[in-house]
Amino acid sequence: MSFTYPRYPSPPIPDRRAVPVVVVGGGLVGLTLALDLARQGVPVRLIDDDDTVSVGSRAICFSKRTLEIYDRLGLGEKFLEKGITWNRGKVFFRKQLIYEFDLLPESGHHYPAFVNLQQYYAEAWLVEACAAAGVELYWRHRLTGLDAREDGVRLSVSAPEGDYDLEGEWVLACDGARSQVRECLGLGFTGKVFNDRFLIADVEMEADFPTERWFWFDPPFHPGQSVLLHRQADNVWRIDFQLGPDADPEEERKPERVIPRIRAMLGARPFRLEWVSVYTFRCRRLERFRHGRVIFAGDAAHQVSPFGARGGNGGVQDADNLAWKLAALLRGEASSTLLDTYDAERIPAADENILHSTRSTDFISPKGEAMRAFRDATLLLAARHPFARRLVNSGRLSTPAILEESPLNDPAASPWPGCPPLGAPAIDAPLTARSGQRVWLLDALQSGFTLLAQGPLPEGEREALGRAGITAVTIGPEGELRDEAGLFAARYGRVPGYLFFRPDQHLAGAYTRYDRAHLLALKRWILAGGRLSAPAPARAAAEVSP
Amino acid sequence: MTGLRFDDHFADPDGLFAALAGALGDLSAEEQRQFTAALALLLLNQLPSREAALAALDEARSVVLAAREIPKETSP
Ligand SMILES: Cc1cc2nc3c(=O)[nH]c(=O)nc-3n(C[C@H](O)[C@H](O)[C@H](O)COP(=O)(O)OP(=O)(O)OC[C@H]3O[C@@H](n4cnc5c(N)ncnc54)[C@H](O)[C@@H]3O)c2cc1C
Repeated sequence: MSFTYPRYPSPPIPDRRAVPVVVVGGGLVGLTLALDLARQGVPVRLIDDDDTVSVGSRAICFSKRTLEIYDRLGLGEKFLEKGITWNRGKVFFRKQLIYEFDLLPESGHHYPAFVNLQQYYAEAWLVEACAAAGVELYWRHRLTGLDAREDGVRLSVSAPEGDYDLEGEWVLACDGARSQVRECLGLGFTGKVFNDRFLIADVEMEADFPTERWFWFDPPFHPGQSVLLHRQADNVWRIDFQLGPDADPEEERKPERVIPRIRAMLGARPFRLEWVSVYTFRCRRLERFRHGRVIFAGDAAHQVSPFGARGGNGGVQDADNLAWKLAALLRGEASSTLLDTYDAERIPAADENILHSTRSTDFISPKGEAMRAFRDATLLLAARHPFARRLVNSGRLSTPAILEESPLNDPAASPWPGCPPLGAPAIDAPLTARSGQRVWLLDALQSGFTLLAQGPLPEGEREALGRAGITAVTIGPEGELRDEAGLFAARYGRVPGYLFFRPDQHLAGAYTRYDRAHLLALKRWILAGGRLSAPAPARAAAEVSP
Repeated sequence: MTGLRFDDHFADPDGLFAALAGALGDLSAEEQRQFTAALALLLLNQLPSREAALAALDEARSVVLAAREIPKETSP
């Protein structure tokens, strides 16, 4: 195996016991959030009860949006280099291929639909980046108790040297599905628990299978159940075997049970068993993610089944959503109401993930004979009838949340036909800089609030926007960036327009006429908490209809 | 294609299968069989002509019989 688990040193009990932000949990989400905050100049302390990265086989599929977020955090290229890029999937019923799909059937994007990579690699890079960005990393410092007040939070922490108290202005609960923070606050989950058990086996082998996601319903080598095959880095392949609700997890983990299952699938091909575990899944969430000065993100806030790869990817989008808001608040630029928009935006996103994840799990594990008959009939019909293909659900893979109902979307905006909906994350496109260098659109959206102007801005406006903390980027024949391939125009509509993006690259406003006063008022309104704080600013300049 | 919702064509986008699961939900095994038969008859009745109904019956039978032919052996 090529990955060696790092052992991070556990620092002594700190002298400084009052800090602005404590992140509890250094998993995928806590590390992402800590890194994002630190890169925005926020002092962050992270405590984790362990001293290494995610052990064994967990997340492997990192979605396009997650890769774009990691690109903003300086890590995107590492995923491309080390991970396995894939866009295509195949679904089989018994031995028959019933359909194929392509998740990104268009070119002109920096990142693919998915990169497969073991979670431990991602976390190890995040730890390095956090350390470089100045995050105080406290390994083997475990949260044991918590007292949340209106003006701050007292945490009880247990470290190898002994127990101590820590005071945080804000606590970000990223301590995973068994969250101690949640326990301490006495919060429950609403949702569904599935009884079906799944065996996860990671095997190392040389194989020339195409780099695709393969999913079987009722295959001859594992009758009556489903199987999923995915390639990861280092010639490691993830195989998920559905076992049914009655499987004994202890028995099923034993090599003498696992190896024959893999042999039945792979035949005589040599392989080495790298990791085995047996899982059950939950699709559920907390009622609210923000509880005063304690804010939940990732698995601590919501959990889904792995079919659709929505757990880690959803959690990374939580971090992306929360970091700029908290950083703005700590800089004194935003009101605490802005943090309520985290709930308003991420709860619907979690519900979307839970909905799709529940539907996939229901399809993969049908309840009762009739449902199984409908499921199998759908699969039989799918080979011949496109309508049935739409119903087949082997996991609806993670897509970015579109914050259509966001309280931060400008009601006075006037998006034109072909313009992405307000609340959507920016769609990438290849552009050319004046120097002739090829750049990606998302590279231009990495400096906080940004106005993308299709066409030139009036004299002096760039500077005026800059003084108000808005970066202006012009696209067009005379602009800083040229759309030579025409893909920017195709993806944003052909109307010359002005697109206003938030620091997390989600679209908050789109206008056909430039109005600086409105953009400045809009930014202030967003930082105050948007619709949760006050009606949106009116627009002085009339829009021209496209 | 916008690069945003690039997989709208699959995985029960309209939630129809989920609605079917919901409708079967708390029925007993026998009731589920009756539901299934009742549903088939209701849908046949929705078809525009007797010919369309007979064609649907033919196709359903042919799909089920074709499954007998799906090879059972081999691995990937
Ligand atoms: C089999 C499987 C496959 C998956 N596949 C995918 C996939 O392909 N794509 C995807 O996006 N997601 C996938 N997921 C989900 C993904 O792994 C999780 O959603 C993700 O790890 C959540 O990250 P997190 O940081 O919220 O929680 P965790 O990764 O669980 O991290 C929590 C951290 O908190 C620490 N901690 C816990 N308690 C305390 C305490 N009291 N004090 C201090 N620290 C504490 C833990 O040590 C840990 O480091 C999969 C999950 C499983 C199980």
